[in-house]
Amino acid sequence: MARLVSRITPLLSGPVVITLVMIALFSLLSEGFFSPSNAVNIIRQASVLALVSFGQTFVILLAGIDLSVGAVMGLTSCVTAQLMLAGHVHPAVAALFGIATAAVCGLLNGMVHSFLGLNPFVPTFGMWGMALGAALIITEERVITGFPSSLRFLHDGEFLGLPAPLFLVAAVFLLLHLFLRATPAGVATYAIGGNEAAARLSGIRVRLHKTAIYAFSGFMAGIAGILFLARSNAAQAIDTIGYEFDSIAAVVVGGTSLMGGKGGVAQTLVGVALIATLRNGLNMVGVNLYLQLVFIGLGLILAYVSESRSLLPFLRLRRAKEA
Amino acid sequence: MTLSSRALYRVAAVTAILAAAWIFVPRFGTESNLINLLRQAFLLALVATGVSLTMLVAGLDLSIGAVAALSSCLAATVIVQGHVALGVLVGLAVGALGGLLNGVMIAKLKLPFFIMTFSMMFIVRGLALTYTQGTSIHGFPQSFTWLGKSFVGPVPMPVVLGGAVLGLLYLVLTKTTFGRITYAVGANAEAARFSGLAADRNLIRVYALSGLLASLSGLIYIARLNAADADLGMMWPLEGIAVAVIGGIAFSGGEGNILGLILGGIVMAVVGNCVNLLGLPARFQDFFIGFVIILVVLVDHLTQKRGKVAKSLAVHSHSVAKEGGP
Repeated sequence: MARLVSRITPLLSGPVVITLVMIALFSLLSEGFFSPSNAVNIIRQASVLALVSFGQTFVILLAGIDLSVGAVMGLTSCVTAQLMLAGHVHPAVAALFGIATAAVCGLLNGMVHSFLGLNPFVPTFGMWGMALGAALIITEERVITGFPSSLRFLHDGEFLGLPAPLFLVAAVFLLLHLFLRATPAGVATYAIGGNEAAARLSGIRVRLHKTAIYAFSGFMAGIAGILFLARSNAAQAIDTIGYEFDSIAAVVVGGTSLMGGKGGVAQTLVGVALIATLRNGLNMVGVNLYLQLVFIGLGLILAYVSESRSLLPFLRLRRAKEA
Repeated sequence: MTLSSRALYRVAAVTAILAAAWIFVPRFGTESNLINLLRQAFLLALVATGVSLTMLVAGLDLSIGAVAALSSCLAATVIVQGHVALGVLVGLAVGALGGLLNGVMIAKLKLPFFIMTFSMMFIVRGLALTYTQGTSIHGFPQSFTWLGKSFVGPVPMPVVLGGAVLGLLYLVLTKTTFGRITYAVGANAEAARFSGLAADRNLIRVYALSGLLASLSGLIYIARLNAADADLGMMWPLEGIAVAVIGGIAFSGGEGNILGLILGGIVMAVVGNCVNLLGLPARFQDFFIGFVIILVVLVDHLTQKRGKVAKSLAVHSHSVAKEGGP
């Protein structure tokens, strides 16, 4: 029993505990919250944020930041929708083209940042403006609807009784987790974030690696953009604005350090779960939309504080004794 | 502080942009358009002051727009009842208080500035929306709208106020101990702490000042619009960052001249204005601004690098010359 406890306690980081407490609280306060159908809802709502936050995690592990993802998601969905509607392109091809556009945006971010040596804020923020502008230009500032709905299964579909986005997120998560833990390139990501100069001296091709990771962040924003399109079945340039900050918040609240070199996609998954549970729970309990904002802000602060200084002195004590 | 070659380069670049707009864009050079442009530029520069100050200490204040919304909505309630001075005071106090809270949490509880000011943005925006319930407050007395609508000679009041605030900030940052500590903390917080500077107190003051400046900008905006609502300043953090970056404030902290915000404001205003005059859809603005941000900073960065190399080469050849000779 003691062994089991010592196995489980390290998993109970602050954000995990806060999420569990919130689930308990919302279950007590709202009848519909603790139900399979609402769990499916939360998973669907969280999947877009999870995908874009995974890409952001890699960038933040490098001690970088990607402010462009929200706008790039919008550009992806607008490009894809326009190709399907105006270009009569097959949805799968259109989606691939949209994702490729996003990856190119990320690649440009990475190249300007790592080869020209600009602080990542600048190229990614500039890209935010350009991607948003481009999306608004190709949609003529309108909402694009009426394209084939064959992408919808990505969001609405079910498999073995579970929502399709769950499989997508789970597969991506496992791949990325293994990549970070078990491949030289994954270890190099931590090394660069921890100490860039040392990483360079130990033979890691830092510039190339960084460029690839920014391109990857763009790519993930592209996939998230497609899933967002599948959910809303309408494309609008400004719909996804805000995901840049939401994704950074999910990453940081989960416990990945903005200073780089510390954290991972598992932490981000917890951060995403926390934010999605909070949003859904506040809705289910019937908190007024305006007040929800206040609670989200307070929740983020609380979650971060709980992560950085353990709210579990009791459990910590116990582990210390055992050791 | 003398005008450095980098500052000169920025002034030259902005002059070139203005000249190009004057020549190629019809109706750009008319008096009414230039006055509009100037007003827009100084309002943007004013909005960017809080973001810039926090960037100087290697932070960022994402809550400026929300703080401006809450403080100006609260102020508006008092002002429509006829108590103009009291209302303005209430607005400024609320702004400073919000900023102070940011500063204390960041400096004392060691919350990352991103988490704190981002959360603050949600909290304060939520409070503002809850307070107004989505309605707008209007019908201010003329003794208040004067702040945003009147002119001094041909110069709009926001330009005068913005210029005064920027001038004052410039003096504070360059001539006072507070200013020097701000730059020192931004350049290297650890070193500043070790050399006995009150880094934490400085951080708190900078964030409080950022909140105060946000509420001041909010008051001038609502005076100009003659209406206050909780949606004010949604894009301010991003616009502020853009103005600051173009104006030469470094993200890494400790570097940048606050007067550069005037240049940043002018560039942003010119882009918006030209897109308008050329009859392009308004949203071409975002595209061009993104492009201009990267371009300005890139050219700046490259010229600076070359300067450094040239300098080190000069030093090198100098020392060789001194030692050299058979």
